[in-house]
Amino acid sequence: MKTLEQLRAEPHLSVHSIRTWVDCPRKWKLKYVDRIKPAFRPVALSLGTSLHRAVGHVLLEQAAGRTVKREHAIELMRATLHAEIHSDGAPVLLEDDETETDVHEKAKAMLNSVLDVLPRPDRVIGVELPFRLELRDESGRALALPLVGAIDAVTVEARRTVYTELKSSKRRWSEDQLAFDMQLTAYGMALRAAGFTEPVPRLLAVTKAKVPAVQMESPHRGQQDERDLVATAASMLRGIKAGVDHPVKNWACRTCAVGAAAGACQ
Amino acid sequence: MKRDLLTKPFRQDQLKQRKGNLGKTLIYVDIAAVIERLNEACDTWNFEVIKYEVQDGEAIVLGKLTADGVVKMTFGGSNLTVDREGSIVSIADDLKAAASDALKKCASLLGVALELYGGSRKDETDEVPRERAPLTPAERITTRQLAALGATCKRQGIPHGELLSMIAARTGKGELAHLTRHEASSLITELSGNGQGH
Repeated sequence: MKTLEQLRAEPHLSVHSIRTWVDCPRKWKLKYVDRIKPAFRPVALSLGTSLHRAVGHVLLEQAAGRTVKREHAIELMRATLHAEIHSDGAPVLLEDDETETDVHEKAKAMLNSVLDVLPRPDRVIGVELPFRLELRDESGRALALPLVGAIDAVTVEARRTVYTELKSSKRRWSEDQLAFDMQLTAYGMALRAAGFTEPVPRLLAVTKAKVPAVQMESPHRGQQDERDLVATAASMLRGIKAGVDHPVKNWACRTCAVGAAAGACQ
Repeated sequence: MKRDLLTKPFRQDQLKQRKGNLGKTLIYVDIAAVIERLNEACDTWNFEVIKYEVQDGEAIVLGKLTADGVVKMTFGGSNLTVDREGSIVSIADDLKAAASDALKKCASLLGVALELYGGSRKDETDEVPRERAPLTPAERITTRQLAALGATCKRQGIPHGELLSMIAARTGKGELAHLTRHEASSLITELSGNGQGH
């Protein structure tokens, strides 16, 4: 099986790139065509990265039949977060009145909250499991580019295949977010294409706070969601081919890291 | 913009040498090679001198490079050339040299000749180290301050280029994300107070 890096080396779509294009075609162009490096990274991104790393480690160790001590997982998250914040790339920007210690405390609380509710699976099929999926429209024709990505975790629980998407966010996920999130749809399609029958989606969302709220949901995904995803991807590809790259100006522009780097959007 | 082409290291025959301070040999690319590179890699590009000054024997230029919609601003400088009697030969020529220096430095912010700015040949150049964000994360501008600066500029009708120009003039920095919290705070206060002027 190819690694995610190998899959990403070929032209492809990702759920993230589709979402970016839908949100703002100009941002998509700056990021994916002009390859503008972001001017900064919000600390929220670093928190998400380090949380994924720590939870992934716990699951991988479980897959190997070992149990990770809570303090080791916390230390891994702390070290990852520290490396993220002090890396040489674009500067990581904190929130107002926030210190690095505050961020580490938040990270620890978030990880503890997730590990408190994370079910111990019977079996771990994969963590950060890469996939490549041909997207086919209703006539059965494959779109010009495949969808490439990685599923946070695929496990077996009570004889069912469960795929988990781990999210950290400012607020709790709304009902609409749960209903329409493309990532869960795409991952379900990828798993079925790989031969898994009726994979069960799971969203595990934790708020970025010192007292985090955790949501564990299993929102329904059906054929209409899959048709919508393919139609969105097809529409995006047509738009790109036609040169659609208008900016969508809204509140998000003020903290858009590629827009800030390009200096063309503000 | 063809990033790969823009950041491609220069050939050996495009690299020039000159004597620097403390007996060091400095390696640089001349302005023609930089212009050639911008022509190759960008569909459209434009360079403007935003501000210039002559002081303490030096010509200083604040330059703005816009390449395929991407804007970079920074300073360039050149020591004034004097004849044997100590008279200035041509301020215009020194300003031109400072402008060329500013263009080269702006282009380096897009990745042109980056290998001469702290890359693989860092021991052979005297070029100014690349600008960095404040080292302590708690000293850096916050995302909310960034948003507030954007909102204030929008409200006051201050274009992004002008904001960068103000930042460069006050702090010598070319990137919003490199401001400290204190610098950002002062700027927000100042711009908010200037509302009637725009």
